[in-house]
Amino acid sequence: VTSSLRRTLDRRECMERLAGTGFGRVVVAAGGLPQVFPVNFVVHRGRIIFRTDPGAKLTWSPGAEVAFEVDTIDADGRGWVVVARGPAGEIDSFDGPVRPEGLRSLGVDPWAGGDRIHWISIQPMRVDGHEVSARLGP
Amino acid sequence: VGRRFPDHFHMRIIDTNSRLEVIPVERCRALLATRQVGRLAFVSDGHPDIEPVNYVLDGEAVVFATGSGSKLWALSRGPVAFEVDWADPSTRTGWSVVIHGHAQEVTEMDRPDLVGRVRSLPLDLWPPGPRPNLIRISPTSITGRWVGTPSQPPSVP
Repeated sequence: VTSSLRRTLDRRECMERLAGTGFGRVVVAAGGLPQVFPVNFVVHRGRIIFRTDPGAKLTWSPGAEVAFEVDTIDADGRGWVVVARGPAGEIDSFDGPVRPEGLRSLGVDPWAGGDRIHWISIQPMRVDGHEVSARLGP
Repeated sequence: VGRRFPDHFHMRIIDTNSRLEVIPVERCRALLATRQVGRLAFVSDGHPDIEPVNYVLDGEAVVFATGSGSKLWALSRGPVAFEVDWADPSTRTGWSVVIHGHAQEVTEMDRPDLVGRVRSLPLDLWPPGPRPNLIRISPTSITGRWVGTPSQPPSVP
């Protein structure tokens, strides 16, 4: 029987792990179909921020709900996962603390290059995470 | 005359949506076999969701194990996406392969050879805990994108 030491991460821990990662996966429900794609991102003032191209097939209607995942899991089954859920939208449409000015200084630097002029912000309304720190057996 | 181009030369195809380079489907399949953990993306009661799972390949299909609960409920009612990736921040390279398909539980009602094959797969990595239900995703599409040095196709990390 496999057993393990599993610990729930609180919100502060989850946000710290998110902020320390830089590479995650976004999920949207496009007409009931899940679409998933990896992005380079930063956490700024509690929000997850990444960039996309104008041609991206995903349309970011203000408030569209997304899930955002980061994880680190090694070959022995030790690791952690954080999933944030909340509304996403182009930053232009937000009246919150993230303003378009100064975005260039955030360091969102997609490896893929390109213009990626659309800045997307996710407001993590709900954040869940857990860590598996020890693995015994089978 | 011989080969005109060295082996590593390949025709680059750039996805017009993401501007990322397309990975040919045969290489996508090879890359899927190099990883143990992928991420299941699904829509549960209208809400997008995702969680990592340990998986193995059964031919072209992805198989993973799960406990009973909301995830299984969501899976039995709609299409899923399954994403596998690898990234190296130090060189800013990486790849991502996404399968779209329908997930189905493998039960005793399925063909005995399928049940036997799937039940013998090594699935014990993630998440921990009892996971009595085996889920199999038959792909309707496999797509891959990668970021890296143009002359180097994605390789096994």
